Amino acid sequence: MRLTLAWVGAAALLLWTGAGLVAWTLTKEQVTLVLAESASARAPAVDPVVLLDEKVGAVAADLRSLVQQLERNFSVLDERGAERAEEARTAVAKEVAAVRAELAALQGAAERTAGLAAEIRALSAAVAALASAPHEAAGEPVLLATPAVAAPEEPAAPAPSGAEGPSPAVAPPAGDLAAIAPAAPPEPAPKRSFLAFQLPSDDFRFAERRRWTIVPSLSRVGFDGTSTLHDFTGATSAVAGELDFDLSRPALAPAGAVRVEAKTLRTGIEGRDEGMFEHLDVERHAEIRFVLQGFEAQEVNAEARKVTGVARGTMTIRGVARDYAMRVVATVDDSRRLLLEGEAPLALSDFGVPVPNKLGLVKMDEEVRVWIALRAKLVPRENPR
Amino acid sequence: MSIPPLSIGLVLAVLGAGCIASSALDADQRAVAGAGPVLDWHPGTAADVPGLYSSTAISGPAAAVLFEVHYRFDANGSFTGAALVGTPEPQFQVLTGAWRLEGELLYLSGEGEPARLEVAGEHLRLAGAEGTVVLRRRSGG
Repeated sequence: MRLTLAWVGAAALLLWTGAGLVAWTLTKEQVTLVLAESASARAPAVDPVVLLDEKVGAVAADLRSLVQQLERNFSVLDERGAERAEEARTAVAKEVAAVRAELAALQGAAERTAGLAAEIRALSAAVAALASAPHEAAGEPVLLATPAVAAPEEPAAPAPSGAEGPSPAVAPPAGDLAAIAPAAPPEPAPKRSFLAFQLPSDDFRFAERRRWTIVPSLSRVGFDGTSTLHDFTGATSAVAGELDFDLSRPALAPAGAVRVEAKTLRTGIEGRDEGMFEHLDVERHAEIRFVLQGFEAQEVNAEARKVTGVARGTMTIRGVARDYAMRVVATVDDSRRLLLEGEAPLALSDFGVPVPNKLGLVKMDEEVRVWIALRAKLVPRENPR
Repeated sequence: MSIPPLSIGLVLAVLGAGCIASSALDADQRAVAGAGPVLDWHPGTAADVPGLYSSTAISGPAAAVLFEVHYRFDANGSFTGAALVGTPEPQFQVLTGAWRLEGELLYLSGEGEPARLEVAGEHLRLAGAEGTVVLRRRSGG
């Protein structure tokens, strides 16, 4: 059986093979096999290394360009830096030369000052030596806390008796100076001294906001009135007040007030003054007041220390307050006093002041001219220098 | 025909109006004259100095901070003085020392500038770089 099956298998294999050969023979002339490559298959393969190489190359090119640009920029910076360094060296050299010259001048001055100080010390010692006998207690002035110890104990100098008499203290002969050695170390530089008093330094500056207080004894305000009888002036020095502003910029928030004691106004005729007081109702409204609220500068002359402009504010007369403006001229004199002068018309009816009228024959104009002639002094600084 | 007294008064008032001169001040007369009475100043001598004095006028830069000055000069060459100084609240400075006159210059201390002395009656005038002070002699000195 097994042998039979082997033979059958072999026969089947041969039969299958033979059938295959027959089939190939029958179809080999009719079948054409064409092998074609796709487009994508035809494209050359992209090599990432090549891509990377290209990119590296591009970056390298950029870097070279950047380096070249930087080199050019550094070159320009170097040139400018060199120029600036040269300029700085030149400026420093000039400053050093100026400082050296100043130092040399100061050294010369110091030497001269030292010489003068030595002479002054010698002179002082000589004066003290010669004056010690008659003036033991009347030496250099001493600032005292209280007047209690002010009087010298033993004033012994003889009184100067005549117009040509000697001065109480006498300078020594010049020949005595050389023999006397300096007796005391140099004194510190004196402060601002006037008539032996030490005054606080209060240098006035035009361009600075300062406060001023009116000096009544040097001030006067008034009005000029006209009537059918004659013209007259009413005036008073009972004026007070303060002003606060910067002369160089007077329009910058000026402040202040001027107050007048109404019952002190005088016109020169007592009866007329009584009528004026009635019209001003001084018993109930004792004060005429102007409150400064603004300033329109027309001229500011720092060199002449002069300001011209229009002062605006509120005027109160007889208890009635109205806006009021007056052209004023402000100047600072050598005594650092502020002079304020100005005038402006004022209608009495605006303030409810009755206009005097005597039976229609003697009638006063309802408009008067108000004027000021004020002097104000500086209020000392809070922190004097 | 009788004329009413009131009419006569009114006519006289009108006629009289023309006779009353103006009393209005000129503009240049409005300011208070700060100089005070005109005095005949002349250089002083040492004999003019002794006495008790108070200031009547202060001018110059010192006037900004110096309000009053009082001095008592003794004939023996000593003096004491008091000054009301604004710092900023007014305070009195009190000092004592010696004075001497050399020519027209009054020395009140070893430091500071001397003052030029002039006299006029009961007045002394001391002038320096910082200003001028006019002093008036007081009784009781």
